Amino acid sequence: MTYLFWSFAVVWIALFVYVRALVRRTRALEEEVRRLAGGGS
Amino acid sequence: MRRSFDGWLAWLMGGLMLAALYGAFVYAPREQIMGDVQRIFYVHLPLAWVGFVAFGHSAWAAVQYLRTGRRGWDVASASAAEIGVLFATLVIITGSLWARPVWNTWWTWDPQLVTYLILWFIYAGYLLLRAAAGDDERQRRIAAVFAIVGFVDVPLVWLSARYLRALSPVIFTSRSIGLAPQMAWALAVGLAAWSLVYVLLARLRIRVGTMEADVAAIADARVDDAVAGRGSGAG
Repeated sequence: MTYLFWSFAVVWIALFVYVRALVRRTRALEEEVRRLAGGGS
Repeated sequence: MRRSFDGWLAWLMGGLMLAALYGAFVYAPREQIMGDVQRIFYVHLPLAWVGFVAFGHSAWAAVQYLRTGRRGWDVASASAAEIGVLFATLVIITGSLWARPVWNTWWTWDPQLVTYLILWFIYAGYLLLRAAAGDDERQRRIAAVFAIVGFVDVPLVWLSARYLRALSPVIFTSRSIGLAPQMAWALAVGLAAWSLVYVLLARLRIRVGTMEADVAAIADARVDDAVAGRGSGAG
């Protein structure tokens, strides 16, 4: 059962971390686009 | 419009994933020889399938990039390769976690495992190449060729289990599926759920890649404007 638990746990943790990184990157890029479009340096 | 479509996809994926988990842990019977550890198969095989789909998507988008030169295809190719490497990594980890109690080893130099490991190295190398080599058109074309050539390993992984002396079990043959009907259903729902996970991830990653390209283009244009302004001021 330990192997079964860790198989599913590793998959879901990795997926969560990846999606979280993508969402954070999206927000940072949206901010960057706003800054560049607004003429900030 | 895009957000609502993604929202519907996410709800559909969530429902299918719950069904897939129910199928894997409740609906599918306990395998007689391996016991509960066999249930790893219901996440391992869909991950492998999605990994192949991702590498195929990457190669196909690379072909389109070489054909048309449109930046969007390059972004799609890189995005699909990144997700493919993530899923391939999870395939190797879940495969090892299954192999330890069943084969009594974390890893063996089985032909299918070796060809899969080569596949992982090819696309991990592709990502390193892209990260290290900059982002001009020549580098993008080299990366596209890399993605296409790398995909040649995918059929080798598939065929190695069938035609070489591989330890990995062969589930799908041209004549039948080597599973009990309930197991086959649990697997089918898992395949559908993880395919939708891929669609959602790819859309999100491509959006990020497109924004990165847009930010780089805006920044370049501003630098060009600044240089032109300085040049005209000096003249």
